Amino acid sequence: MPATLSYAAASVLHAIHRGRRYGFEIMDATGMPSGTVYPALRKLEKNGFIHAQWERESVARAEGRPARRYYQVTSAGHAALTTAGTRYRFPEVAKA
Amino acid sequence: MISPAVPLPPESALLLAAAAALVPAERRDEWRREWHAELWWWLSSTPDPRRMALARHSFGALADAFWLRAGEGFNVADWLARPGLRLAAPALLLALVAAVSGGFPHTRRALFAPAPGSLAILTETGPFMGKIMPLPPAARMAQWSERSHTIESLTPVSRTRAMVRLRPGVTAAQAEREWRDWNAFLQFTPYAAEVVYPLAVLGLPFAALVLVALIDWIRSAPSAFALAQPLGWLTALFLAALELPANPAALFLPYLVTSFMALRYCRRDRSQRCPVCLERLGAPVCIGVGPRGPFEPAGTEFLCPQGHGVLFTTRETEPESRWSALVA
Repeated sequence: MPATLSYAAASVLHAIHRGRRYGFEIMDATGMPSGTVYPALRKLEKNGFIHAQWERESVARAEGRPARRYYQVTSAGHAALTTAGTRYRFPEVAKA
Repeated sequence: MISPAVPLPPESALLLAAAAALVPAERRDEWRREWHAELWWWLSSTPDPRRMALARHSFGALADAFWLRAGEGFNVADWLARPGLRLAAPALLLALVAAVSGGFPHTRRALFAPAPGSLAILTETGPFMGKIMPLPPAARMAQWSERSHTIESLTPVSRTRAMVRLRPGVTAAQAEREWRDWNAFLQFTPYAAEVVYPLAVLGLPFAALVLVALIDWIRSAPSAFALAQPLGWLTALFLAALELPANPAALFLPYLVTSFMALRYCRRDRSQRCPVCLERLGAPVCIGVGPRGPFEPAGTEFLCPQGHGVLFTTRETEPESRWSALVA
């Protein structure tokens, strides 16, 4: 049984599911401030709903920017998102 | 290693450094690396990056760091409402004022002036709007000082001010008349007037507000917290106002309003706490609604989280509160 997610955590998970992969992009998509998004990311990571991975330093250096920390939804995260999506009425999750 | 470097304004860099100190050591490097990368993205993708907006964004690092330090059950609002932190807030303000002013120079001068009657402050006032100008060169003032019959000694204290010891029986006005022969824009202000005036102007409302706080404390639950919190804020605001580089008369109203608001805040904060353990009261229950409404007084009941009692507040234009202790 997946754990119940808060609205903020569910929104963050939903944003990652829709292809937003790092903190700034997730903030942009959800419209939530950094003080909400980052603790939500830590909580999701701790519960195993998302998985974080650093971008290769060589790729970032070639583009003249710092490396990003990318987040991905895990299978447990997908299950949790389905439950939360129904509860919070995220359109495409609820349909699926 | 992060490349390229993120050029952060000092306030954002300070916030990030303070937050980094809270993050558990084993995660700190990775945390810092992620936040630097995020701020880099924020800076490079915001068309007109404003410092305040960046500082607000960086403030999220503190919430993130708190979460990492204390785990999931941690609530920043509850943590900030702890009585010790509420008492520390005016002390922090005092520390900040002390750091900015260089150790309360105005207050120290006012309280510990040696024979203030024989001292004067020398300034040079410009011809336009009475603007304070830099004093003449020290060597020139030393020459005038040697030729003077009205002053004993002259000690520059800043670029625009010098402390003068007058000869016995000489007034600041007499010294000014003599020195204006050498420089028409020099001005001698009696030291006592300069340092005692702010104390008198701001001290009166301070004393009145302290009296109000004491009466309120005696009338309410007389705990040490209920006394220390308003007195701490009143003292901190008074000392901060004394150190502000502004005319005390212009500060009178803002100081009075701010101090009054601080008193109201302390009163409100105290009324939301258990008088026994000082924890914030919670679990509000509306009373006087529903089928039993007509038979109960209308109001809200708050419970102490440690079970010391309940506070009933009436729902009226001027609410009254009643504390009932619970017997275990």
